[in-house]
Amino acid sequence: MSGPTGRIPWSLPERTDRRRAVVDAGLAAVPTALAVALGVVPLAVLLVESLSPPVTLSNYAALGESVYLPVLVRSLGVGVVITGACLAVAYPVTYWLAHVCPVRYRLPILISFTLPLWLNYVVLNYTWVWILATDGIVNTVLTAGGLVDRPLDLLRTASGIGIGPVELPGPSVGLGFVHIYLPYVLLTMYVSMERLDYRQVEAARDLGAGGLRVFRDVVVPETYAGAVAGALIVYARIAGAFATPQILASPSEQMIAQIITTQFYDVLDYPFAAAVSVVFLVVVLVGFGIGALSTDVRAELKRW
Amino acid sequence: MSGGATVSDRSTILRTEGLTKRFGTATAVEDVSLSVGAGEFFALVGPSGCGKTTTLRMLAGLESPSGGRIEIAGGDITDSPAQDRDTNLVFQELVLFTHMTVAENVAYGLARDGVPRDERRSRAAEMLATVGLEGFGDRDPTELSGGQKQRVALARALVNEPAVLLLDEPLSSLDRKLRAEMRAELRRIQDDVGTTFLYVTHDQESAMSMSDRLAVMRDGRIVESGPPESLYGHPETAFVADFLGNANLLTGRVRDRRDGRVVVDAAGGRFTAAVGEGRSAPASGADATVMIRPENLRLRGDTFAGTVRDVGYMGAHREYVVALDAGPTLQVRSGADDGVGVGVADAAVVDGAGADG
Repeated sequence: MSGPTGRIPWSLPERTDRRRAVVDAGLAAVPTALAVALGVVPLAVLLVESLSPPVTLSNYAALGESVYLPVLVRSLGVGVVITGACLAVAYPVTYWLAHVCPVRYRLPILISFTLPLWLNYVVLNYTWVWILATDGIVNTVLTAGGLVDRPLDLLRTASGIGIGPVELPGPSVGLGFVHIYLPYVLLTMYVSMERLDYRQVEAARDLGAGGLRVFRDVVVPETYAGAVAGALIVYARIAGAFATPQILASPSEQMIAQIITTQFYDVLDYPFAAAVSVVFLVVVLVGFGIGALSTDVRAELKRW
Repeated sequence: MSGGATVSDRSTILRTEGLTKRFGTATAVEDVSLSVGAGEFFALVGPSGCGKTTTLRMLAGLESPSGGRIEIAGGDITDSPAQDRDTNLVFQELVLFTHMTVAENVAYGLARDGVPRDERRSRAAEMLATVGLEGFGDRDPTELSGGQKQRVALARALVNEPAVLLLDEPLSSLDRKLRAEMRAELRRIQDDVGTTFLYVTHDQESAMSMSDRLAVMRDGRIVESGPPESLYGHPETAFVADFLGNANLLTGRVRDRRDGRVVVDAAGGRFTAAVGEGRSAPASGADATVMIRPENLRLRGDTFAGTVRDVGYMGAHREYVVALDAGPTLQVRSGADDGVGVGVADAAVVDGAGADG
């Protein structure tokens, strides 16, 4: 069995397979290296910076004693409240869209939900300045209509309503946040809601369940994974947002990203800023980890 | 409960009057008037798209009628929502709650009725035993077989004792053997619990084998209703004759009337035929359509003359296609060894039901 005629034809695929594996690895190497360089390396640098000079935990200790801890708590609180508000809006809206709205209107409406995603978020924030300012559109209408004597302070005012250590966001920052982050929650929830078998709703109603019971017993159990996934996607971004509180929040409603920015740009205390960032990151990751413990939620997140 | 009752002494539990449903310009259900007795097994049967499922959904309260009335036990429920109606529905796709155990599924309706927890548990277990699933309570519905899911769906819908149980072709997803088994089971369970069953199907065999009475629907309307034997044996319309089984339809002329039956000349033969139920016998000389079931014809008779064109071996019997000399083709069903090698066939009418054309 030698010479050209003795060649075993099926050895060829094996060689091709090996060659393909090498090519695949080569192709994957560049983007993987890029992802590591852009994702992991900066985090490592941040961690090292937060422990300097040379190696100390004093930056973390300073955070514990400083006035910044309440800011961190407030930021996380705002994240929870706004995420909750987004879910409260997204549940009925996506239920309506997936199961009540005539099919031919679904796509156009879904696309219209995503429109804010296509606009610059700084612009989105400023639209609320235009709407809520003392000479803004709302106050103009209210005063012209004689509903109020003088313009309401809607822009950059704190709510003054607190739940424990967490203060509810003021009207302008709350509206701005919901406006910007709602589309993400809507899209995630819609995917889940569309897979809810409407006949399950009918079965529950048939067996005597009223609207609230149907929601509790069928809609939530069948769609909670989508809700949690949506919450995980927006929660950290809200808690760590910079532009929205900067433009729409009252000075008493400072959030963590503003502190970090001030420390980096104005105070130039890089190690402290890095420590604040690391603490924030860890808190958010713990929350994410708890949410992603559920296999249903992991499956939902993989859709993204 | 009312196991021994006959049709006549049953009180009416469900009544519809002129029930109509329009979707846009299309009419799905038109002027359906039904009356179902307490404890009765009533079947609503018809081809796909005839409006039977829409009718059922209106009865369940999942679709609102465009017109007409629905009454349960004498009370008008036309506008009451599904959760307030004393009806339960077994869905075609069963639709068990996948995030609950079997027992939680079964007890769901009881919980909504405010039955205390302990009683719920014992009644759900009892109902599971009735449907033959004793000890399945802690299972996850997704790990059950098709037939077992069927039984869970049935138990869930029966447990809180609805006035009427509505069934939407729940057996259609089962294979033939299991379906036959479940039909017998359904009858047994219905006798056991005494609940009124309204069963919707396109499968006339299921409808006839299970029901006390059935109604045949076509294009949104009820064409005919009555006990299976009379609809099958003496249908009023060609549609029902054909829908409920293989039927030979011959057109001919009435020769004579005799004891409420008629003598008919058709397809070159002369024979007597019964008159469709609820019809008056046609006059002599009138045109008439005659239905003859294939099993009521036999080969080697002397009524018709024709040629066997095709023989189909069906196991227990053979089906012959006979081309009559006078033109029409007849289907004849005969014992498996009855007509082997027959070349020319004559057939005699044993029984037939007339429906004037």
